This record gives sequence, C-alpha cells and structure tokens, in this order.
Amino acid sequence: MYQNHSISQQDVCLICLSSISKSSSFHQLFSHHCICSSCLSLFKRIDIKTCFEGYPLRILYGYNDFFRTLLFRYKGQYDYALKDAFLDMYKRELQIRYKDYLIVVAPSASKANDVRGFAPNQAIAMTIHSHVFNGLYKKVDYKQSDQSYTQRAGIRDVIGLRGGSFLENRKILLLDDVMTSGETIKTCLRLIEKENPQKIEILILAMKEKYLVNLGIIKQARSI
Amino acid sequence: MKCPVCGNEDAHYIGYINKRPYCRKCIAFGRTYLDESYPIHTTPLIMTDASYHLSFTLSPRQQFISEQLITNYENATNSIVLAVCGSGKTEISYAIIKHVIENRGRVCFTIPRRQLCIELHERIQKDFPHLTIGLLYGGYQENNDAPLIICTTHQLYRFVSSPFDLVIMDEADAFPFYGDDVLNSIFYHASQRYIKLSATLLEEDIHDECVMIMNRRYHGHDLPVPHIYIIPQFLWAASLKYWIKKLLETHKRVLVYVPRVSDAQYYADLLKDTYRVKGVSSESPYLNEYTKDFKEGLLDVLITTTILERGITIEDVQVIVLEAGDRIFDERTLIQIAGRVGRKIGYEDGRIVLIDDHYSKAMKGCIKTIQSLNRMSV
Repeated sequence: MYQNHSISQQDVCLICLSSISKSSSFHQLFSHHCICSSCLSLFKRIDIKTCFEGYPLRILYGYNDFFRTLLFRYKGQYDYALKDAFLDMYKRELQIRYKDYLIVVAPSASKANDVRGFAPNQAIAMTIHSHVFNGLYKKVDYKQSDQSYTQRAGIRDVIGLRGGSFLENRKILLLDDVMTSGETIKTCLRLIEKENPQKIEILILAMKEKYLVNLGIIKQARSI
Repeated sequence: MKCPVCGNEDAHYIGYINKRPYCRKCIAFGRTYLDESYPIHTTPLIMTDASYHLSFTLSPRQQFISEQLITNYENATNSIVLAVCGSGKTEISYAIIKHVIENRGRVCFTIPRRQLCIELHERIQKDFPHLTIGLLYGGYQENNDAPLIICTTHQLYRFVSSPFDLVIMDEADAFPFYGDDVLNSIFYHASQRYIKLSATLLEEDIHDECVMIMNRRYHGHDLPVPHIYIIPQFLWAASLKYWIKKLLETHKRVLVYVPRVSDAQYYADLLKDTYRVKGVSSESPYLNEYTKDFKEGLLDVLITTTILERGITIEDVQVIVLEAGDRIFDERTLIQIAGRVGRKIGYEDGRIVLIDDHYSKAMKGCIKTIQSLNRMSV
C-alpha cells in the first residue's frame, strides 16, 4: 500500500545526507535511527561515568575532528535539524534514565541564538524530553571557547540564573555540549546548588582527551 | 519549494526552524531560508584598464578560438573548449576577459583546486599588470569586489546574489566540482554566461554549449602516448627501480604516481638511499615545498598521489604510474597524468609508463583517446 510513497520507503542520514536502507539490520526494524552506520562509526563513543565536584558526571563522546565538524555545522552554520543526531544512539536509554529529571541547559550567548534562530543546547535537551529549564543565562556576550585555558575561570561572573525557585526539590540533569576546563559547569553547579535541588547529575556530550587527563578523570596511559 | 542557492527541491534535504524551511544540502555555504527572496544586486563598475601582454604569440587555432569566444559571448552562447593538456588554455581566455571588463562587466576565473588558484592568480596578475584581481579560496580573500575574481569553485556561493557577467571555469572535470550537484548548481546560479575549459570532458557533460576543440599543443608536436607494462605485483618495486634508472639516464626528473596516500611514503622510503626522493600527498605538510624543490631540480624523483594530476607544469619530466589499473586512475585522470609530459618547448617528447598486473578499461581508453587526438586535424 505504501510502496510508492517515496518518503516512507527511504530515509536519509541526518549527517551525510545519503540514504539509509531500512532493512539493513534486524535492529533497525525496532528502533528508528536517523544516522547511517558509517556516520555512527565516526563518533568516538567513550561513555565515561565518573564524578565531578562530588556529582555524577557522564561524558558520551571523545571530541574528535568529526565531532568538531558536526558541532560547527550545528552551532556555527545553524543546521537545526542536526539536533537529533547528537543523542541518537543514547536516546532511548536517556529517556528512561532521566524520566523524572528536569534538564537544565548550560547557557549560550543570547545574541548568537538570535542569529541561529534556536538555542543549541536547549534543542538537544528537547530531544530527550521536554522538561527543559533554560533559566541560566549569560549576562554579557562572552564566549568561553575564545578564552585561554587559564582565563576560563572568568566565566564565574558572567553566568546568572533567573527563576531559580523552579529547581527546588527537583532532580536536575545539567547538560552541556563540550567541557574543557570545567569552569562553566562549576559555575552552573554553584548557582543550582543554592536552590536546594534534590539531586544533581551532569551530562556532557564530548570532551577532549587532553582535558580528561587534566581533570584527573582518566590516567594518561589509557587511550580512549 | 526550491533553494535559491543550490536549486534543491528534495524534501529530504529540507529542515525546519520554527516552521521556516531551510536548505540542508548547501548548509556548508551558509543557511538559506527557502521562503526568503534574495534580491540580485548589481554594482556599477568604473572603467578599468584591462590590457595584457603575452610572452608568446597565439597559434592560428588559439587565435581563432579566442575570437570565437568573444562572438559567442556577444551572442549569449555558452562555450566549452576541449583543449589537450599544455595547449595554452588559460591564454586563449585573455581576450574575452579584456573584452568583458572593458564593457564594464565582471569576470570570474574559477578552478576546483585551491593550489591552482594561487598559481593562476600570480600568472594572470603578471600578464594583466594594471588590473586589480581578487583572489578567494577557503580561509582567504582579497579584493573581492574587483572586476576580475579568481576563486575556487566553492567560493562561488558568495556571488549567487550578484552573478558574474562571465564565469570561466578551468579544469571543469576535476574533483571536487565534477559530479557534485551543489557546486554545479551554485556555478550556474553565479554565472550569466560561462566558458568551460577542460582537457577531458565526456560527451554527457556537454549540453547546448558551443564546443571548440584544440588537439595540438602550441609547440605543435604530438601528445606522448603512454605505454602499458604488465608486470606481476612482486616485481613492481624492482621494475620501478629499473625504470627510474633508465629514465634518469636521459632526462632530469621522474614523477611517480601511486593510488594511495600510504604508498607515497612507502616507495619514497624504498628509493631514498639511491635518489633524492620525496613522497607527497594531500596529507603531507610540505606539499608545496617539495613540489617547488622538484621543479627547481633539487629532487630527482617525486612520488605523489593524484593530488598532482593536473595543473602543474614541470620542465623535462617523465612519468611512471604504479598500479595504473587501480580504480582511482580513471580515463580522465590518466589523460591528465599523461599531459604532464612534454609540455615545454625543447622537451616535447617523453615517456609515460603505466605499470600494473592487469589491463584496465581506463588504460586502454586513455591510449585510444590520445591517439585519436593526435590523428585529428583541426
């Protein structure tokens, strides 16, 4: 009945735009993936679960060239549709695991978001579920990635929180795309702590191996 | 809905932000909303002096094509010039560049590869001393409002909203332009009229353009024809050494083409005790330095991937292609590689040695095409 319907027959990969054949694996019959297997294999999945400042921290990917390009296409070239690509393979699991959590997204400069037409972290968070809190904001236009590693503590004075009372007694999942020195996350944690949430967990999409070592999360010898 | 930049209409490649459709196919060239209209700007140009000088006189055939290009332009016809490697394709377009610019038009000279852009800019700037010439490639731009722009095919997206009166495309059959829908569509959007220059366009690439053929190099000699040697794989290293030794007896330099990046370094290591040799590929950081050393005679042998298949002119060079039957060496690539040999006056002859353990369609096709070009009498 639907065999002549071109869109139902064939899906294209979100990243490389080539078509995904749906019958290629048994697995695909049961779950809907929007990324082809060759693009999936380019993600460096590390899925490290560790502790940061006393809170559970989970890092999904290693920050490699592929991730850098993908993130740039999403945040820098404003390809909104890519929001579904980042958590694609973890989606089901995250949805179950963080079902009753409130997702708090790390802030991005509002000026940049006006140009984009969307808030990148928030859009990614929305792919898990729609309990997303975006009260963290940047007081001035400030880009953490423009700062040198040692100057990054400066972010402390830049981030503010509005409507913090929503967080009280909630389970919080703090989400950010890339962690480098951890200063942004630290600042966000300080602000959230003040509101007496029930519990805080952190989810980071990607991190460079070098900084994983710097923060003592992995040892030098282990290659990821 | 249709993307105004790349002409994409496929719903698979359309994304939505707050219900506004945008094109995902050409997202790398900036996000385009499909519901927006993009007005075409025109900037009036002041009269510029576009006189040029050539270091040699055009052959009668070059002169004829050169004039025909102007006639076609005036008749609003697009042109394709099929000219063999080393026949002076760039120079025949000088007259039309001068003609368009002196009629207050804007011209763009575009090439798929960045390295060739830089070389071409130097060359054209030397020949057009009074003209401001813009140069654009990934990560670099200067004078991008000049009447003559030289850019990579990727950069043409900047000019979709202000199309050129004439776009001249050299090496129209080269990667990454050839076969890429987005780049092709951008090319047609950025040009009101165009001229494609190429050595190896196939029949299916020609639509309603006026085609002109130039089958002779400006020195008038035949194109060197490649020779195929079928050798079992375990003897390749030995036969490579034999041929290099033999070719270096009579000539100064040997260029060796290999199919894979890793092979370049492998064979360079194999030969480094006997000759001054370097291996280059798209990944090697010293590509430009080594190519320059090779041109200046500081290296005997340069081992390269197809990165150096086109656009470069090296005096007195001989060519060996290892694993010439590999998929990467298609007919067009082999013709280009063969075209490296015998370009300069004084070194019109040379050898092209194709080594593999089997014949390929491309090898035979390349030889057949070159022979028929040599027989043709235009």
